[in-house]
Amino acid sequence: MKTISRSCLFPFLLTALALIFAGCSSIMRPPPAAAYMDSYKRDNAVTSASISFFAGQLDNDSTERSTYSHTSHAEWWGDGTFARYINGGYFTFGWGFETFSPFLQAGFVSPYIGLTGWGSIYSLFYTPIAEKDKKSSLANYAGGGMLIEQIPLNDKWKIGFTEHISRNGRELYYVDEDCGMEIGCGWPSARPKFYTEVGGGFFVSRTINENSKVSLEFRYGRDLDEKRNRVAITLDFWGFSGAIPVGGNDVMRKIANKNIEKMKSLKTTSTDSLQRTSQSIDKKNTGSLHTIKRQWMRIADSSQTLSNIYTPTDSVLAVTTKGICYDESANTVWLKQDYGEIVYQISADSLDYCQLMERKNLFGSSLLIGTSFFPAGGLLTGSLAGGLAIGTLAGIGFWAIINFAANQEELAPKVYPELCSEKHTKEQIIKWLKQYPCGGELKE
Amino acid sequence: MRKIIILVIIFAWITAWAEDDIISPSNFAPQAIAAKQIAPGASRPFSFASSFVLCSQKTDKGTNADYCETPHSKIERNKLESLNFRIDGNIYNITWPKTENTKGAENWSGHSFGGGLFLNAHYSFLLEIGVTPMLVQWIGPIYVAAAYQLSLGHYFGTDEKNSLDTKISQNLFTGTFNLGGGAMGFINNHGLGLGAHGGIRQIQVLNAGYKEYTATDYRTGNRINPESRDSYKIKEWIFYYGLDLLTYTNLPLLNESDSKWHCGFMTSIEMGIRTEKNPLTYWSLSLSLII
Repeated sequence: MKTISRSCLFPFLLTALALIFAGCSSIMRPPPAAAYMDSYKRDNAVTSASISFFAGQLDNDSTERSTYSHTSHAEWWGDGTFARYINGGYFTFGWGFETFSPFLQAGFVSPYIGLTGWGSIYSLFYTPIAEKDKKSSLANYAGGGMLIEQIPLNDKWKIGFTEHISRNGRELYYVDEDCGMEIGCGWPSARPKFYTEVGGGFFVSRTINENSKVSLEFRYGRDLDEKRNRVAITLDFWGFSGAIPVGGNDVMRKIANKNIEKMKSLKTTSTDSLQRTSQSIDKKNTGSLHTIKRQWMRIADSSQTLSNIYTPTDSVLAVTTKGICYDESANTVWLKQDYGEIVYQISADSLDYCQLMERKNLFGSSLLIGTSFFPAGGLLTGSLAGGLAIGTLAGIGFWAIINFAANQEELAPKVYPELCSEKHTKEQIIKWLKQYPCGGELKE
Repeated sequence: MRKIIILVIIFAWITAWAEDDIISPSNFAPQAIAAKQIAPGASRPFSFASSFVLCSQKTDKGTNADYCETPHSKIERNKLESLNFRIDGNIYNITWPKTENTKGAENWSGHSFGGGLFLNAHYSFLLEIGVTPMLVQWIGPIYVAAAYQLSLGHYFGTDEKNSLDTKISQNLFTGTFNLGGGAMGFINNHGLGLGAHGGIRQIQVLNAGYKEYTATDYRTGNRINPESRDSYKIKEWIFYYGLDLLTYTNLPLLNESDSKWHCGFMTSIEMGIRTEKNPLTYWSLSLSLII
């Protein structure tokens, strides 16, 4: 849960950024193929920058005039693309910009065959709700699909072939000349035109060095709507940056690596392998560690624990545990992690016992729940008193559910400045620890 | 936790004051992830979602009145806009096949033919509750899903000043379908998934009407005898697609990362595909936790 709460920011942020950038241009043409194919089985992210030159029957040499406006046919002769790809075996996900058009791309990839789809973010998120004309929303969509075949010639050179079908956009600008003193009057506003294209091409790619490659791609496209022929020549450079650690497994690995590093100097075992041979008095136990109410323990150093570390004040490091046993002969204590099954050993000299764990105060959350139900209750009953009653019931109900149905020791602990402020003498600590003796040899 | 509650309250009350109400089933992509078991052991999705529906108005050339005409309804109003906020939770599920190892494994890719039957409950602001049985089945890289939502709601209208009025209300018990499928690609080394889904769903838009006084009390001069006017219900099918972004854990590092179980978090955006015959626009954002 901790790993997901730290990693859930990426999908939420990416979605939020996509929605923000969706307001940019929606024009798109097929992205280059070679860098996408080179993402196969790479742990690193592929970062690609390319420039394209367009030729053929471009619509960029005419202007339509009417009484108070004109429309410039200004299809671009070139474009630039920046893209990033991350890979998981046979699946690659990418994102980038084609000049002012943010896009997403994803698909199947392998050493010889690739199949990819892309869409401009504006098309993906806003086209269905943006009303341009009476056509269906797909008429203003920019995106497509491409099949790619790749043949490695040797360690440095590869060639490839592409076939695509896509909905492209091209540039068209409208200028209103009769808008008086309005802001922006006389300035061109983009009115892109979309067309369906089928076509194919080929590319050649070469390895420059271990971290960079280049490709030259030629692509022909037939405009099915206006019966035009277009060609694009693209020069693409790409390199490999460090892995982007944004997924749940990335966060889990990062937290685990810190603990694995600590485990090199800590004695650890799992609860399954522990055995106790002696009985404790009036204590519940699992047959391994003594199971106790979650207890705060003060420790001397953060490297001595595999549990979550809390700092009620700058000078105090505190952890909680629900499992403990004291090995008197070695003067060590075994403590259990917060949620995992690992048990770790810590010197009794660098440990002190503190208060029992209390969960965070629920009053504030209960009050908020009650407040949120008060208006609905008032509307339902048609009276202020009814709303207050329902709001109060909701708040109490929330408190009761959390207090009685949830495991209190699994909830977030209450951390306050007085926590673990009291220091005990060595004799007091030993006396307290002797309540929880370990029995027999601990197996690792 | 408190920040989440505050955000939910703010968002819910913003949506509660929209003029019209939407009734439509929730997104089935989180349930698909639960059935796939890409995060082993995680089979209960919980979601927050917000949806809106608009209508492209047309103008009657004779009367100059605006109206919204869907394939089965014609509503004479100058504006149709509906907003909805809901909370979904899974109360029961059966998934297959059984996941033996819930601690995770390197290169765990979930069940290729995983499936599940889910029973979800929802609460939608202001006063709607319901249950949704849902079936999901993966077939290799793609999945198909079907959901039917039963909902019971009490919906409020507006007064003559266009403010919420509890004296104008309507009850509705109804069922709506959501049928479709999707696909998802998983980048296992990162714990990321990107998917798309789509299908056809029923959207019900309801307005309880506005209050109009039909008589005057001549002793006091006050207007009396309020009656509801212009209440309407639209129920249409729309084609839609959605994009999903997922983050999850499945590495065998639960102990090393001091975690109890694996889980996933998903963001989904759905968009209706508007056609010439159906001018309804649909858009939805949902956040889901699968534990």
